[in-house]
Amino acid sequence: MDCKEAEELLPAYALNALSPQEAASVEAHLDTCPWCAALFLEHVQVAAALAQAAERFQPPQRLKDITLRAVRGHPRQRERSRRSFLWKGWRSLTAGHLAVGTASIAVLLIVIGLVLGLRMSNEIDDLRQENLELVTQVSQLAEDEEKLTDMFIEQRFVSYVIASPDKQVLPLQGSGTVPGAQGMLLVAARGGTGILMARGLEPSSGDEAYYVWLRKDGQPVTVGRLSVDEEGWGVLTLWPDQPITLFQQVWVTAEPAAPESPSPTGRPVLWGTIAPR
Amino acid sequence: MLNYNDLRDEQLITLIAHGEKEALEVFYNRYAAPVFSLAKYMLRENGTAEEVTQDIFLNLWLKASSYNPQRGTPRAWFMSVAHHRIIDVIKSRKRAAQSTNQVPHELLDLYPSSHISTEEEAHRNLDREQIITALASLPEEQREVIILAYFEGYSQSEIASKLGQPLGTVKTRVRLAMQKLRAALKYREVE
Repeated sequence: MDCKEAEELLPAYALNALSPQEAASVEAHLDTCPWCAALFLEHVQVAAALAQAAERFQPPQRLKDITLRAVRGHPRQRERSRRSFLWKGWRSLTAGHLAVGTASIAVLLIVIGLVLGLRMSNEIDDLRQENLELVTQVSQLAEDEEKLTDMFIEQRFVSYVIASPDKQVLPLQGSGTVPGAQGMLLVAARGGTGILMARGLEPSSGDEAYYVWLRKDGQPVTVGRLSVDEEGWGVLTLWPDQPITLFQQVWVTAEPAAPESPSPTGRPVLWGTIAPR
Repeated sequence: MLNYNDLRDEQLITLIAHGEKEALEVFYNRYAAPVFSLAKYMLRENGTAEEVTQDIFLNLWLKASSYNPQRGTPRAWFMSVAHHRIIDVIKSRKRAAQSTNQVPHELLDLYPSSHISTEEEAHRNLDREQIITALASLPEEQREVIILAYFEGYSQSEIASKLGQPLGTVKTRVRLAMQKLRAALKYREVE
């Protein structure tokens, strides 16, 4: 099937209105042609919009219960339970202990406050102040925990991509702006997400920051800020709105830390070409 | 604590593919209503719509790793998968000759939804009004093929037989209708 034939069938393919044989042919063509794949994205958006024309009904709560029970009973869930043992353990160590600790401290302080309140009102004020400080500390711990959880999730995404045998590894070239700068872009098997790794860059400072851009037809889209540590290493997970493989280039540029620029203000310190799938 | 509700659809699908049940529950909360509504509209039967909705989410649990961003946003992809599954049910019904007396979806009903009341309802009604207006603006013969294809689950060949029109004519009508809908929706992101 060539592009002309595919383009004629794409609208009906998006509507699920092709025969199985025609659908298989279009699917095979889309796997090899990024241009038709990009065109298909527009048709499938229209098809998704058509679904909204149906009058909206809320499914009954029991349907949710039944569905989640069915999922829970499936073997994959049991496999997952084994895999996530460490994850659950980590969460219980952080969230569980924090919650129990907070509750215990609060109850203890209330009991002490009631007993002492009968005789020593001044000490109650002190305890209240102490309680406030403890609550503040616990609140800070909760914030730290949230950051750690986000980091943990991020690291899991990174490990999924690195472990995937189907990932694309794209080397990044230095432009000479920062001598010794090197990097690579790992694109996940489906092309939607990726990880950019760089080394040899100047550590992030308060005035300047590195930004990562994806470019398509000369138009840049920023996908995040690359933090560089004291060793000159930086890692950024890329979650662009469109698949990475629909872009043609990736750039890393040094920009003023704030505000974020809508487009690169200088030459890239690192750049690479993205191979279409 | 990680709040799954803050995650994007694509992140949720990645987590579902790795067996995170909590991610599936959040995804269900987001998409159960549109999937169930589409199923109920196309199948015109509550019980079967519930069954197919459950089936669609169970299938997502098993095959989330098959999500390919090059085939659409998570929403567009999932609604396409759901639509495909609903069509399978319609086709199996037709094979069993159980729906020969069904009245076809001649026109989309334009009554506003009154079955749920959330903060998103007003925005959603605007979306719905926009797509219904776009459909209504199509020439009759083009609207007819879109309704037969999308809401009745007919293939292009089946539509040609049903209407007594050449297959090429049906293909052209579908293509033109989709182009016009695309233009009418102004390439609006559905997500």
